[in-house]
Amino acid sequence: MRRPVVITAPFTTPEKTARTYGIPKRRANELRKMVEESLAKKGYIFMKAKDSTASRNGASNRASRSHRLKVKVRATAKVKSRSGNASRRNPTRAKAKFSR
Amino acid sequence: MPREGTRRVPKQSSHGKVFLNLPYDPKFENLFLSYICAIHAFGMVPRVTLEIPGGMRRLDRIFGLIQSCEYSVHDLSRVQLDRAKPRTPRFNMPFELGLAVAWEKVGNVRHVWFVMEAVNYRLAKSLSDLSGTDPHIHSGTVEGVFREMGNALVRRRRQPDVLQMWRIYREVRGKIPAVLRRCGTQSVFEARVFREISFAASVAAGRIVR
Repeated sequence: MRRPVVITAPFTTPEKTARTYGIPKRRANELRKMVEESLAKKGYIFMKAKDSTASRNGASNRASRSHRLKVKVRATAKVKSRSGNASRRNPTRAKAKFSR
Repeated sequence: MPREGTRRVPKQSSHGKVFLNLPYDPKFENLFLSYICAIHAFGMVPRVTLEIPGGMRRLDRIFGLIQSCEYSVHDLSRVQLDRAKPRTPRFNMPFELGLAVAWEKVGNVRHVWFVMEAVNYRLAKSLSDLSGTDPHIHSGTVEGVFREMGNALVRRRRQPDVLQMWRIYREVRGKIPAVLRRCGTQSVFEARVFREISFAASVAAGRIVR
């Protein structure tokens, strides 16, 4: 009966693997991107989508992203009122609430 | 340059490195990939003699590579005679197994070796000196390699299962055409191709095995 061997070494990282093989950083990044995109397509990992509008406005740093996530849009759905007077009232406008 | 007979001390830590002793044969490509993926699934780094550049004495470099690894996996399933005349079997793999066994006996560091075979009881005939050692029988299949690697190795945290190894394998398999194109070759048995494939397997394993 064979007994399995217990591995004591820590789980290696891709960075360490690249260093062991002497793979240049640039190529390592290309390969990593290629694999991660493929894994994301298959649903094994989730990748953050880039917000092109925000990056164009220069608001793509981490601080602004976290701030943007806190923005809650408070909007009331326009309900069809029964009375004629009620329909003439101004509908509730969407208002962005910034919470910190 | 080390003299003959002197023991070379490995510079890098041998922790988590696995020396892979396999035939470099197109028919063996799937199993070659499966070993790479299985080793990465366990969070370790495979090393092969393909990485050894020419110019230096090959035997010294092979022994240096074995010394730099904590584990070694020796696949002795290719025992057939080759087609080219004069028809000969390959002795490199049993020879490298002998080096690993010697290093385990006389070296002052931990070295664990495993023997893999495709056919049950064949090792008792082909290498009877190893009687008493149970080889891992992979039956010449990718699934068999994953199963036997899972039987041979255990990790307390992040223990991979066969399904996860398959995922890594499929991921790496899909990247091979792009890697081969970039390296300008059609064979996976080349140093650069091996490094890139192995790195891709490392990235995939890091994401899949949690």
